[in-house]
Amino acid sequence: MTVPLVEISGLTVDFEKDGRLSRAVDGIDLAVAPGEALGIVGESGSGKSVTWLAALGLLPARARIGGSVRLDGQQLVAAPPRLLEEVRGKRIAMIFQDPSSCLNPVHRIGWQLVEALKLHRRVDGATARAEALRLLDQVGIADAKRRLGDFPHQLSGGLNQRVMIAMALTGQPDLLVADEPTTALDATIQAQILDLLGGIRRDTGMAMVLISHDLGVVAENVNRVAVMYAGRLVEEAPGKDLFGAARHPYTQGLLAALPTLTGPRRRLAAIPGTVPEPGKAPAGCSFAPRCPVAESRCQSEPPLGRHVGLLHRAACHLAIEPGFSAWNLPKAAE
Amino acid sequence: MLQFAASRVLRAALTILFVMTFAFVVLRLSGDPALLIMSVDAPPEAIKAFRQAWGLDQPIWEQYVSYIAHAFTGDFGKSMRDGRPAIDLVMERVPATLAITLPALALKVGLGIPAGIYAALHRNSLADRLTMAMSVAGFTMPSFVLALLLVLVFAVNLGWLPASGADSPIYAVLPIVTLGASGAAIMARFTRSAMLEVLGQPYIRAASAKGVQWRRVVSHHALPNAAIPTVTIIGFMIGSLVAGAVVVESVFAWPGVGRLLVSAVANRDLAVVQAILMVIAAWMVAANFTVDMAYGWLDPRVRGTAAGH
Amino acid sequence: MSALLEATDLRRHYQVRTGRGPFIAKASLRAVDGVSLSLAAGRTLGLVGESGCGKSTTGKLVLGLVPPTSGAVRFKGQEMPAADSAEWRALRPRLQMVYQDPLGALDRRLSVGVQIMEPLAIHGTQSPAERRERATEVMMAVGLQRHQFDRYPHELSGGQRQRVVLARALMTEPDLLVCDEPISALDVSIQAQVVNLLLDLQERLGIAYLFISHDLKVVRQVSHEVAVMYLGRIVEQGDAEDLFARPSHPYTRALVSAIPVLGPRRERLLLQGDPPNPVDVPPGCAFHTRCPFATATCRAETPPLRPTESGRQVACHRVDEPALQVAA
Repeated sequence: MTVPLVEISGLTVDFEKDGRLSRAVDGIDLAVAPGEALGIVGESGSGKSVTWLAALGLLPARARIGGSVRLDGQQLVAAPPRLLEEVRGKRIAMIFQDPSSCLNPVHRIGWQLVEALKLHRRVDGATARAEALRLLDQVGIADAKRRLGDFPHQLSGGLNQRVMIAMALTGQPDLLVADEPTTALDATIQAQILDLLGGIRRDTGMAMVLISHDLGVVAENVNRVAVMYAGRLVEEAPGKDLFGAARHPYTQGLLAALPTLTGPRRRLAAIPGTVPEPGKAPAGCSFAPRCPVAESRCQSEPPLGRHVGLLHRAACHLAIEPGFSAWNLPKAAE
Repeated sequence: MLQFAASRVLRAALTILFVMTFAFVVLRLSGDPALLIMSVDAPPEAIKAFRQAWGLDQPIWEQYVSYIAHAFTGDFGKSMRDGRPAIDLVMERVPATLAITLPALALKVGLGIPAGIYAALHRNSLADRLTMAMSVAGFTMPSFVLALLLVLVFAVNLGWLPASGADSPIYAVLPIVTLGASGAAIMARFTRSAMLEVLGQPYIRAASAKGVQWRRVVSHHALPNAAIPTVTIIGFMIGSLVAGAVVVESVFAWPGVGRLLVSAVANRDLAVVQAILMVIAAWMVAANFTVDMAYGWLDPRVRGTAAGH
Repeated sequence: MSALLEATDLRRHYQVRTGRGPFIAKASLRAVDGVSLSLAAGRTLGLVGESGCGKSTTGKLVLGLVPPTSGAVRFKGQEMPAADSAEWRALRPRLQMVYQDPLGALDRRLSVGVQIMEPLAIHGTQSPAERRERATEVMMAVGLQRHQFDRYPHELSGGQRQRVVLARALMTEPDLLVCDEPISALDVSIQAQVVNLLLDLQERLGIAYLFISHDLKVVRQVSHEVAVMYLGRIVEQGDAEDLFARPSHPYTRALVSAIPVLGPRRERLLLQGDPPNPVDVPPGCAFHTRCPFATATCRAETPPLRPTESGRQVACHRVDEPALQVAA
């Protein structure tokens, strides 16, 4: 068992508003091994992004973070700003959903790239420029020289995301957290970006956390998947096992709610109700109000993650057999 | 760029022309200058002579055309009080006005902007709330109330500063503070909201995520963006450098353009009033023009390029 | 039986200014550039494509919200009247639209019940009590509850708001509903609810849908027929299941292969570069700049949308070459 690169234990995040605390992340245990690709799936309110923003200390002051996040053993929660600034970009890099608004509109692309290079590789002037050109090449941007002098608004979303990826690579990080990196992009561009990320991972051995609400995006690009719901981790398994034999009713529901591009058209399983608002999660299992097989103890006791198979954990009181779906439908995948 | 500048210059010229016309018409409609200057019980022949001398007996549109035509040659008429060219009277007073409005502007910018930035960076702290409270007080209080309060405290009670007049630089202190205080308040509030807006943008978080130190995020990422809306306000303040001190000059008996305007209006000294308005308009227009150019320099999105090129 | 909706060679061009500084030139943005489609009653036509392809504009043209630069729209055999004319307003009860952002489509200050009743208040002749009764009926039909009548939009969830928008659109029992990205802003589990609802309503009420979306999977779920758009033109059109299973046009193939699926992948066709600007439409086949199979003919001549033997319509010069259909 390899030593994890990042280990999250019991992470909680509360946001303070008008004197009250509302819980966005409710006790997450997660580990990322060096070089592995982990996918995090969840809908709105699942806490999937907040988890990693908290790990890097990027949340606003009104966020209260508890628990532990260790990078190679080093504690990141409540770490002094100087330490976090050393980690960001150099050990853990992060790219976000809307690339065009993640670049500073008043500075040229070259300026922003060189800023990262100066910071992480301590190069300057002509060396930095040459390196910037090489990076833009590496991420597949044609006409790189001209692009260095362009402003973000002159580039399309796809190109801007490539620039963001290039900037993330300057520090040669051990882990790249990609938060919905392709959601705002067109399908054909999405495929290009995911392909690029895969190639970079192969070349550098970098680990990746891919956060998305799109199960398909996650399925094709990662080894292991974690499913989050209302601030908790509900299931975690290798990709094939999760999509082929999900054991948590929520995961099963998500899979059954997905229309497919191939295979017979069947009526979608619609999970009734809605995701609970942050801070208003029900007692017991947060999915219980919407779960078709919930029992009385589900309403009162929050379930802990249990092993239900090799490397497969699910947080459910019931032991759902592999192949059986709580939604009484044939297996969703394929 | 040339097309841009040319159209702006044309617009500026039209604005000034419009202001001059407007002033011309309104002044003529508001009462008979002859009666005002000549005093009520002057003999009718004297009044008639006065009218003839100043061309007031001619039809309005003829007066207008003559005025505009003369304006092109630099002749903006003569003061009815002392016969001197109106434009000379005005330009004599401009330095005095600038002597208080320029330092006031420095105060507004030098005090207001740092206060606003600090408040934004320390949101909801005591310093923030204090700054905001003072700024509300600053801009809700009319300038003459503030002026009189300051006079009461510093001139009457403490006797540190003179109440009015312009004999030496120390006389300028109270006028400058009055003008500067409320402007600084507006500047602080505005800068704070501009900064807060920018700090909430995704690129700020992305810069932090890159590993950039917070100090640098503020100075190199946030401030250049917050400068853009701030420049509008500064532009407006520059525009009112000549016109903005009317009340303050009156309260402190400061011999600037504002005071001249007040007395010229009271006396229906048409040419002088028109000349002052024209100078103010020209100055405002020039300030706006400079702001427009500054925008282009500060915000690359305004320079007119499309995405995907 | 004639089609419910028939559009012939629709074009919509916008005059825009491009370029920087002194070199501002006038150009034509060809949002929709020769689209013809027909929709029968009770059926769903899916319109897919990426950003800039013109699908949203097509939706507006079809409803008569935007006048076409050229081409015609016929609804129930009659030509579409000019936007905002009295005849056009009289047609509104038959043709409705549902947009992507339910919060933006609703007035924050009115209760949802009042907003649902509004179409009848405008077009109908019922009494207020009758209107309320009908509104409640429709609300329940879309899965809302009676007591939500007096709620305000911000008090409801995204899925509920979209149901409100749907209810409002259904009040006049329209024949055609144009849905422009109606579920993109919703969570996956809620998307399924709304999709099922749309299908149920179609079965019960016989409404025809023009379903515009960039999400191919959802479009396949709800559509009988699908048209794929690229830079203002339809490049392929045909039966939904068949089109996605065996796409012919290179762009459709690339699009289908770009959609991540949970299961074995059939074909992988990765496009290079970005989609060009609708201001700058390439000559000949608009797709030739990114097409792996482009030839000189493709660069020179625009391929017309022609039927193939399988009943599909494809706009490609090389569609009949069997060698190309094998995975690239």
